[in-house]
Amino acid sequence: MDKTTDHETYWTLRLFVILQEMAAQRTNAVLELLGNVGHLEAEHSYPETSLFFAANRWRAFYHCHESTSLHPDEHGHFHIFTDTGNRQWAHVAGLSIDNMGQPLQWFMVNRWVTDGPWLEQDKFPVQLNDAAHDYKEDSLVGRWLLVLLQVYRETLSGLLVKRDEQLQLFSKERSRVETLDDRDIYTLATHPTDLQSMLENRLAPLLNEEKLLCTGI
Amino acid sequence: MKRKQSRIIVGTAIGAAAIAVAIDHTRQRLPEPEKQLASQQAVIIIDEGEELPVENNGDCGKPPSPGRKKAPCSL
Repeated sequence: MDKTTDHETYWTLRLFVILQEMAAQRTNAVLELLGNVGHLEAEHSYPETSLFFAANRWRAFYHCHESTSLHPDEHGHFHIFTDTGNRQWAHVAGLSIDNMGQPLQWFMVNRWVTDGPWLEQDKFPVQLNDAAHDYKEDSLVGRWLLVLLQVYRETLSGLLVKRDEQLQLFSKERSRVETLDDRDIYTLATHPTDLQSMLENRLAPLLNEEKLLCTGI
Repeated sequence: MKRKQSRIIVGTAIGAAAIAVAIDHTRQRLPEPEKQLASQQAVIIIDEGEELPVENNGDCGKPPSPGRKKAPCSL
């Protein structure tokens, strides 16, 4: 089993608290986001102008497609962006969701998919550190997204590295710009996600450790 | 003794069963997405001699047709 860091432990416990809040309301992030939407329309972004969180320096929307998906069990996916300065929104990651509102996989897209500035991999931890204290007043979905990003910080950092490696591989015989605009390359890296297993793996071993008492829960 | 009790209480709160229950209660079926409403499709008037607009159905899950230009999942 992987060694869980204090950072992972802290954010995993935060995630658990948020999930309990959702569980008490018998809801999940997508249902919460959709709210009173009567008809979920394919190819439409929810919310239409994005959900802002972490002091408005992060934003996300959810959407689904009519005929195709990124995962066989996918209902739709979140696209998450961060402000890299002067309201320039760089795409950070996508998160596929199944029909029951559970995360399925993280994915990194090629630049043409979302357009906008390219997020350099070393910027990601800095952006997350800045957001670590600015999320507590956010909506339930905003907190869920920010805490998930923190929980999967190492995974996402690894995916950004893999994304850039793939990009380099595809750019061996052509320019980087051509690869970034290649409509045949949609995703550059993916990582399967199972919240329940992750929570069990990271939290269950703590039951016998002293530091559990210091979590403030 | 008090310290031990705290551990038991917290430990119970995040036991494997509690995790399973929390996840299970968030497993709520999402509504089926409906196709874009026909009424929302734009009417485009093409003047004689003008080029046809490029296709864009907003689907970022499949490779686009060669004429498609716009980023399908942009903000």
